Amino acid sequence: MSKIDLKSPDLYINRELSWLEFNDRVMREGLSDDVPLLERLKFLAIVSSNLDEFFMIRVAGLMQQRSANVNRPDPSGLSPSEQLDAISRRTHRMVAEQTEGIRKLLDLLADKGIRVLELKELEPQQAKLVRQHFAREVLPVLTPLAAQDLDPCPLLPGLRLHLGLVIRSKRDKSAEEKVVVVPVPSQLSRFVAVPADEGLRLVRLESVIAAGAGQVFPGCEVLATAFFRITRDGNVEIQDDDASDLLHVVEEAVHTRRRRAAVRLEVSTGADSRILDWLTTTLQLNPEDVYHIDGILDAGAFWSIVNRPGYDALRLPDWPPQQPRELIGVEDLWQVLDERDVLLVHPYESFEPVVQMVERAAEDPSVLAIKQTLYRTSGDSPIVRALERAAENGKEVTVLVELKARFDEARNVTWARRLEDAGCHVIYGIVGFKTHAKALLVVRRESGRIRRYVHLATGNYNDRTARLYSDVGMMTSNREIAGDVAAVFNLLTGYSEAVGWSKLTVEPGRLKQKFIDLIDREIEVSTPDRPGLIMVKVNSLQDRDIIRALYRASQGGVKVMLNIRGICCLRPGVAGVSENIEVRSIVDRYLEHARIFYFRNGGHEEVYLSSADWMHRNLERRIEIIFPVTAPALRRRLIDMLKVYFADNVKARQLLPDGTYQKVPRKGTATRAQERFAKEAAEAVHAAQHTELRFQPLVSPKE
Amino acid sequence: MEATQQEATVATPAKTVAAIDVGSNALRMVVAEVLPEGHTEVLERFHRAVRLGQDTFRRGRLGGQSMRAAVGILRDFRHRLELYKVERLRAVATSAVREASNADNFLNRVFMATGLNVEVIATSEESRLTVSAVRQAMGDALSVNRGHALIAEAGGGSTLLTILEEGEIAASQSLRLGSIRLQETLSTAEEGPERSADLLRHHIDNAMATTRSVLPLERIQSFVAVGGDARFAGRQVGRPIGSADLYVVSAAGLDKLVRRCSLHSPEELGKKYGLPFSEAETLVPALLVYQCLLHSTRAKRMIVSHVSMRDGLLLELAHYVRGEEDTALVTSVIHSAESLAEKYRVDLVHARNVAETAVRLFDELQPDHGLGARHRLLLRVAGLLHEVGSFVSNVAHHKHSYYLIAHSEIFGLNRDDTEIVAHVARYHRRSSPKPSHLEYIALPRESRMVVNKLAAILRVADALARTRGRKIENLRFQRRSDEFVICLPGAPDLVLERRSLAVKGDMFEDVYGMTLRLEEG
Repeated sequence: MSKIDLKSPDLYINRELSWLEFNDRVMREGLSDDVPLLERLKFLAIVSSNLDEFFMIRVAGLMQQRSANVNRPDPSGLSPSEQLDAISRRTHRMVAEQTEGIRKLLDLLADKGIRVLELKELEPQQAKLVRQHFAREVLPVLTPLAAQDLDPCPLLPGLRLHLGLVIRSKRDKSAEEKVVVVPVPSQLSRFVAVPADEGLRLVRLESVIAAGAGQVFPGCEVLATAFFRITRDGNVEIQDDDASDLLHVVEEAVHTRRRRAAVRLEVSTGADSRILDWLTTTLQLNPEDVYHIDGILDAGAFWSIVNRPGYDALRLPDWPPQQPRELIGVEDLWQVLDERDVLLVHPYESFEPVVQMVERAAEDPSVLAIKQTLYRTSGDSPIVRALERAAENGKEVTVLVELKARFDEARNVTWARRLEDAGCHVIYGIVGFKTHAKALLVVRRESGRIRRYVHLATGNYNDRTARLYSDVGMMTSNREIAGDVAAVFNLLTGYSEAVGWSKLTVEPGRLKQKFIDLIDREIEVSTPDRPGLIMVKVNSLQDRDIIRALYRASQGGVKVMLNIRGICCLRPGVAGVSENIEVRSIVDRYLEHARIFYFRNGGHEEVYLSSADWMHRNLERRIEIIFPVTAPALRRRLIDMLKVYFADNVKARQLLPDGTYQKVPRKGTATRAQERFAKEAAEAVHAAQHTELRFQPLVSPKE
Repeated sequence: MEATQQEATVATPAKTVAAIDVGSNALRMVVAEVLPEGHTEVLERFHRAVRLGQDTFRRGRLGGQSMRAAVGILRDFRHRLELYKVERLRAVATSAVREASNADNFLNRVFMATGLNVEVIATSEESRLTVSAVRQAMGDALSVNRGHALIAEAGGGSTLLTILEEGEIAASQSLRLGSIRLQETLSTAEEGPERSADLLRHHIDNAMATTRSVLPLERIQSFVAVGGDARFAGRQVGRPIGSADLYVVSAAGLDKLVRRCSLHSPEELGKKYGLPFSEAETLVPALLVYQCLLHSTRAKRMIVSHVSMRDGLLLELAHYVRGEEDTALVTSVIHSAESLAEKYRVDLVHARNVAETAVRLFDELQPDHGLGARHRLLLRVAGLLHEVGSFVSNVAHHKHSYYLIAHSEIFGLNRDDTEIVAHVARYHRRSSPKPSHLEYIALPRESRMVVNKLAAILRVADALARTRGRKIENLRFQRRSDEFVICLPGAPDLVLERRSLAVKGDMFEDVYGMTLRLEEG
C-alpha cells in the first residue's frame, strides 16, 4: 500500500474560506423561513459584524503578507494573493445574497408592522417632523470635512458610515467641484422612528442627512451623494517586552488602530464616480476590495431594531436560564462541593451560581483568598464588584486581567484600574502569551482545615455572554485539581515556575501534545472488534498537527466525530485518509462555544473540557487549561450531550469533502440540540418543584 | 475510584507546615497540611530559578545579584506562609550555600529581610531526608527494599549516593559531581555540545573510579534516581509504573536519550523540550552522571522516583506537629548508631541493655525532666555508643567516647544532636560536668541542661547493667517522698549494682532531687 502524504495540500481546507463557510451558515439562518423574522434580522446583522472583524484581522493580515512579498502557501497550498482573490470572490457572492435577503426580509417585516421607509414614502406631516428632527438633533452634531482640499487627507475612521458628496458653489457654476465628506454621527440612532397611526415606521439616519445636505453646505449645490464605509487593518502588534507598561501600550494601541491601512470599502451601488475614484485613490484599494451594496450599508445597524422591545411574536420563545439541576435546593455551596463535583451547562442553566460563588466568597469570613482570570468581561459585572468588595474585606484577591483580548482593550483598562484601587493584586497577563484559561479559586479555612473550591470553564466570566453562548463549567473541591489551579495562578503571578501538574494541562507546548497523546492512545487501543471512538466539540479545528493525528486515527480505524461550529481545515471523507471522520456544525440561537473532548479509551471512557480550541494559536501561544471530568455522573452527562449534538437533524450541517456544508438529512424524529437542552433544564427544575410539593408536611386540621 | 477525591469532610483541625529548600539552581517551597488522620496533603508547590550554585562553584562565594534575587523570592514565599498561617517550617540550604565563604552574610540577610531561619544542612542529612521520602513513597515497590539498592540524586553541587541493604541505610557518600559544578569547573560553555559531553563523561568516569573502590556498586541490584533531571529522563524515555509516580528507564533508553541530548546546546534543548534555560543547562551533565552510575551497578534499569528532599522534610514536619515519634527516622538513627558501635567493637548486648534501661527510666521520669521524643532518641543513641571510647584505650574511655562520637556522622542526627549525644556519653562515668570542661561550657544553656538530665539517667542505667550478660527485665519503679525506688525482680544478687549506684547515682540526686534505692523483687 502506497503511503499517503498527510501533508499534501489536497487534504487541507483553507482556513479563511472555511471561516467564510461558517459565516455563510450564519447567513442561512437569516434566510431560513423556519426562523422567526426578528431572529433572522439578527443573524443577517451578525453576518456583517463577523465580516467586519474578519476583514480587520484576517484579510488585513494577508494583505500585509502580500505587500511584504511573503508568498509562502498555507497548508492548502494557496499563496496570500490567491487566498485574497478567493476571499473576495466568496465575500462578494455572500454580500449580494445577504443584501437580497435583507430586502426580502424587510418586506416580510413590513407586513408585520415594522417598516423601514424611504423619505419619499413619508406622509407630508411625517416628512415635516423628520425635517425638524434633522434641524434640531442632527445638524448641530454634523462635522463636514472638506476632504479633497486637505493634504494629507483627513483620517476617515474605520467601520463608520460616511456620506460622500460632490458640491459646487451655487453662484459660480464654473467653480471647481469638490468632494466632501460628512460622517454619520455614531452617537445617534441609525433608525429614526416616525410617528405613525399603527406599527413601527423608521427612516434611515443617513437618508435624513443626505436630504438635508444642502443645509450643511450653505451656498453650495449638491451634485451627487454616496454612502460609504471603510474597514481598516485592526491588527495591533502589542510589543509587550516590558509588561509593566502593558496597560499603557494597550491604551496607545486602541488609539492607533483608527489610522491603519484600509482593507475594504463598502459603497452604495451607483455611487458617483467622482466620489468613488477619489476614495479608491486615497485609500489605495483595488477594485476587488470595493463592495457595491444595493441596499443598506452596515447591516450591523439592524441590531437596534432587533433589540427594540415588543414584537415578541416575531422572536423565538424565551428559554429563561434555569437553576442548574445539580444545585436545586442547595443552600450551602461549599458543603455540596465538599461532597461532589457540579457541572453547569450554560445558558440553559443559569450562570448565577458562578457569580454567587464569588459574591459569597467575598463576604465569607472564612475565605482567605480569591483568584480569578478575567478575559472579556464587562466592567459593571457583578463579579468585578464582588472582587472589589472581597479586597476591601481584607481578602487576598488576585485577578489576571487579559488586556490583550482583542477589541475589548479599552473596556478592560478602566475596570482593571478600579480593581487595583480596591486593593486587588492585578496582573496583566504574561509576556508573550495570552491568558485564555478560565479559572476561579477560592481558598477557605474551615474548622482549622484549608479547603479550596475551584470553578473551571470553557467560557469567559462574562455574565452577558453567559446568556448567549453555550458553555460548560465545572465546580469542584478535588484537591489535585485545586492544587493545579493554585499552581496556574502562581505561574501567572510569577510566584513560581511550573512545578508539574497532577490533573490539568496548562502550558503552551504541552497542550497540543496532550491532545495528540490522547488521539494516539485511542489509535493504539482501537481494534477491529472494538474500534476506538473520539467525539469532540470545538469551535475551530485548524492546527495541522492535530489534523494529521486525526487522519492517522481514521486510518487506524478509529471513528472520529467532530462537531465544529466554525473553522474546520480538516477534509473529511477522503478515501484512505479520513473516511472514518465525520464533521458537523451547529448554528442556532446560542453561539456554540463549549469545548468537550471524549475518548472511548477501550471502555475506560475519558472526558475533558478545555478553554482551548484546536487552533495553532490556542495551543502554542496561549495559557489554556485542559481538565478532566472524572465524576462518573458528570462524565455521563457530557457524553449524552455530545450524542445529542450528533443527533441534531434540525440545525446541524455536515461538512462535505469539497469543503461545503449541507443540512443533515432528517430521518426519524426531529432533534434540535439546543431546544432539547433548554427543555431538559426546565424539566429538571419542574420535576424538583413537583417533588418538593409532594413532600410538604401535613398541617394538622385542628380548627 | 479517583472520581470524587474531595477534600476530606471531617473537620478536625489540621496543621499547616512548609519546607523550603535553598538549592543550587532554584529555591523551592512546599506548603502542606498535616491531617489528624495521619497523612499529609500538599497545598502548593513553588519553584523559582536562581543560580546560586554558579557563583559558589565558580568563585567560592555567593554573588550579589543572586543573593538579592534569593532574598526577594524568600520574601514572596514568606507571604504565602502568612496566607496559610503555617505553624511549623523548616528551611534548609544545601551545597551552594554550604560551600560559600559568605554563607553567614547571606543567611543573615535572609533573616533580616524575611525572618526566615535557613539552616545549612550536611550532605548526609540531605541524603537521609531524600531516602526517607523515597522509602515512604515506594514502599516495597520494585524490591528496592530487598537486596542492595542505590539511591542517587545528581544535584547542582553534588551527587548524593545512598546504599540500602535490605531496606536499611548501609552507606552513603556525597560526590563533588554536580551538574552546575561540572559545568563551572570544566567551563564547557565555550565548547560545542558533543565535545563538551565528552569532557564531562571523562571527568565523571575519573571521579567515579574512586567511588567504586569505596562503595560496593557492583553489588547493587536496584538503582533509584531522584531529581529533576532524572524525572525528565523518566518522562522522555521511561515507562510509568502503577500509581506510585514512578518511571522505569531501561539502560538502553537512557543511553539513547543521553546521545540525543548531547548533540544539542542548552538553548536548543530548552527549545526542543520546552524547558527553562536553568533546567536545560544542567540536563546533560546530570544525565551523564546517572548513566555512569547505572552502568557501574548490576541494575539493568533506572527507577525514577518523583520525590525529593522536600518530601523528606515534610515527613519529618508531619511527625513533629503530630507529636509522634518518626519510626523511620528512629530506625535509621538506631541502625546508624549500632553500625558505629560495631565499628568500635562495642559489646552490643551490653550497650542495648543500657540503652533500653535508660529509655525506661526516661519514660518514668517524664514529668521530672519534661523532655520529648527527640531527646529520648538521643539518650538511646548515647546508651548504644557510651563505650566506643574503649576502642582507643580503656583509660578515661569516656573522654575518647566524647570525641569519637562528636566527630562521627550519625544518620538522622544533626551537628547539635550529635554534640549532645557525645556529651551524654562522656558523662556516663567519673566526673559530672564542671566549669573547667570547655566543650561542655561551650554548649548553649538549654543543651547543658539536656546533657545533665540525660547523663544522670544514663549513669543509673549503666550501674544497673553492671552484671554483664544479664538482661534487665520487668523493672518497676516507686516514688516514696524523696526517694526513687527501682525494683529489679528476680535478681539474685545486687551487690555489684548497689556499689556502682553508690558511685554513679550522685548526678541523679543532684539533677532530679531524689535519692535512689535499689530493691530486689
